[in-house]
Amino acid sequence: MKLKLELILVLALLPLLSLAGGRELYSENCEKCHGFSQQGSLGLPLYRSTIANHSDRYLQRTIKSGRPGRVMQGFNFSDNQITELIRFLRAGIKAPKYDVAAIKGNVKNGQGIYKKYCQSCHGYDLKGGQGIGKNFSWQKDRLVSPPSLINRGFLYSAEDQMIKHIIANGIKNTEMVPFVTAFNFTDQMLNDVVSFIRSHEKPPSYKNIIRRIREPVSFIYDSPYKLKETVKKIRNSVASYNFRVYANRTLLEGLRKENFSVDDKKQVVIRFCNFNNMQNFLKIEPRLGVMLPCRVTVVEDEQGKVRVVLANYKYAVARFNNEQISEAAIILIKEMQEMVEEALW
Amino acid sequence: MVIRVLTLCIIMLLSATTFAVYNKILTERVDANFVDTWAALNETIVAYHYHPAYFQRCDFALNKLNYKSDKYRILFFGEYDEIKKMSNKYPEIVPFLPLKITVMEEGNYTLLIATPPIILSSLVKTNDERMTIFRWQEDIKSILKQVRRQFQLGG
Ligand code: HEC
Ligand code: HEC
Repeated sequence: MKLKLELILVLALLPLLSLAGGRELYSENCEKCHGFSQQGSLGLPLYRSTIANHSDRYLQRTIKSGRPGRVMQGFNFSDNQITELIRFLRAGIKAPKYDVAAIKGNVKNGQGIYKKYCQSCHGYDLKGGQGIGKNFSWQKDRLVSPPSLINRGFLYSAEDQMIKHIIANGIKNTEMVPFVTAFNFTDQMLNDVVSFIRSHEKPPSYKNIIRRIREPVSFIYDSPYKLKETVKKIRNSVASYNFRVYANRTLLEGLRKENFSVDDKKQVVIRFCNFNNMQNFLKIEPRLGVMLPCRVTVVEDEQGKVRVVLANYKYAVARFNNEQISEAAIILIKEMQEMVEEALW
Repeated sequence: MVIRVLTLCIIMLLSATTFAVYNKILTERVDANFVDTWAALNETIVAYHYHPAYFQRCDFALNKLNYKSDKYRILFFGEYDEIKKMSNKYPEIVPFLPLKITVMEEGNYTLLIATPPIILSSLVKTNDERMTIFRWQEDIKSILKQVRRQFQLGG
């Protein structure tokens, strides 16, 4: 009997507990990107007025699969955890439900409508604006970067009817205006543009899970020159590639107040930066500073052999799950390799 | 010793299955401004027995043109003997040393960001060295979390 009572008590308190669970899950996993009060940051704002457009299915799938190539990775949560998280995000607002059947509009017409009304924000390739999420300190072109409409995670999660609903009614207090009232979109126009967006979906068999990089984590070059000369040559080469070069450091500098050994001078860090490049990169991925400044390290081993070591930035960059920045990094690392090769030639 | 090897096995197993998770950029949001976060980070790093070496400003990229915040700094740190041993033995790891954490102000908040050292573990040869790298990973994760919690409780 007593046991039964306790059981009832626990059952009665369960919903309360699970709300706390949702908040905790959000705080541990989402707030770094979506903000303390869902105001957005590296991720989109998740205001209740935004979530009000989203079905449970959309949220479940989004949380599970994330946005491959658009920063948000998928989360391996249990169904129960996802339910709690969604309850927290909704904070009492009722979930809409959408028919999952495909909308059959005219793709060709849709393309024309997209070009005219949507392209300026969501991009000519539908991959969204430059950069991601919302900007506070990171002035980009818009307060909120228009999301990708053809991201695998988005198309997998969104029902055609949800996409239609958002285009028709907009998202409250954002640049995504209600196209029915703002531009007199007809039902046909809505269907056409939805079909155009959907036509970009890749078949389920298609896999482009961030490719494994079959390259070394860093590149090592043997230098035919002595340490000092190598450093000088690299510095010159760096400068000729339009980077600003900073004063050299030694690798162990500052790690200890006294008792430095002479060997410590045999690991020289050459730091440099290209401001214009950096500004563009930070626009796309504000956290990119973790890789800064660009650097080449020159080391001399006990046998007096001098080597030049360069991080393969493709690795570091892959971890951002950000297609735009991964593409930019390929160019940068090529340039840096050339720069070192030229210096040692 | 047995326990150590066992832990390592478990860790390796875990890191293989949760590779995607390990491989992520480590990020924490702190409910404090840049100056307070910076001070807390320095203290926490010392509390974890690392030595803050120097910092690199990246304000250059920000206060020019139209960035609103110029608070962007990278703190380099480590333990002298550890970093020395690793860097002498493995030139391929040299570009990733010393360890570092980036601090970036965003509105009223501050983000702490670090690349996960765990990727380096495939480059070293002994279990002791793998343990060192694993500890770096775990320590950086806890340092970020601890700085965040300090301001969570206060607020
Ligand atoms: C002025 C810029 C702008 C234009 C023009 C614009 N959008 Fe948007 N759109 C946005 C922004 C910004 C968001 C995200 C708002 C938010 O979530 O805070 C958005 C969100 C969306 C979403 C929701 C996507 C998601 O991931 O939740 C869809 C669908 C969408 N837009 C479709 C369209 C279509 C179709 C058109 C043209 C008919 C269009 N948009 C025109 C800026 C724009
Ligand atoms: C590493 C940063 C990051 C993390 C962590 C993250 N997100 Fe996201 N999230 C994003 C970005 C970026 C987008 C928008 C993608 C785009 O622009 O195409 C997004 C989009 C979303 C959307 C779609 C919003 C819309 O308007 O359609 C939802 C819902 C969402 N995230 C929920 C979550 C939840 C819940 C968590 C925690 C379990 C989480 N996110 C963790 C970065 C993140």
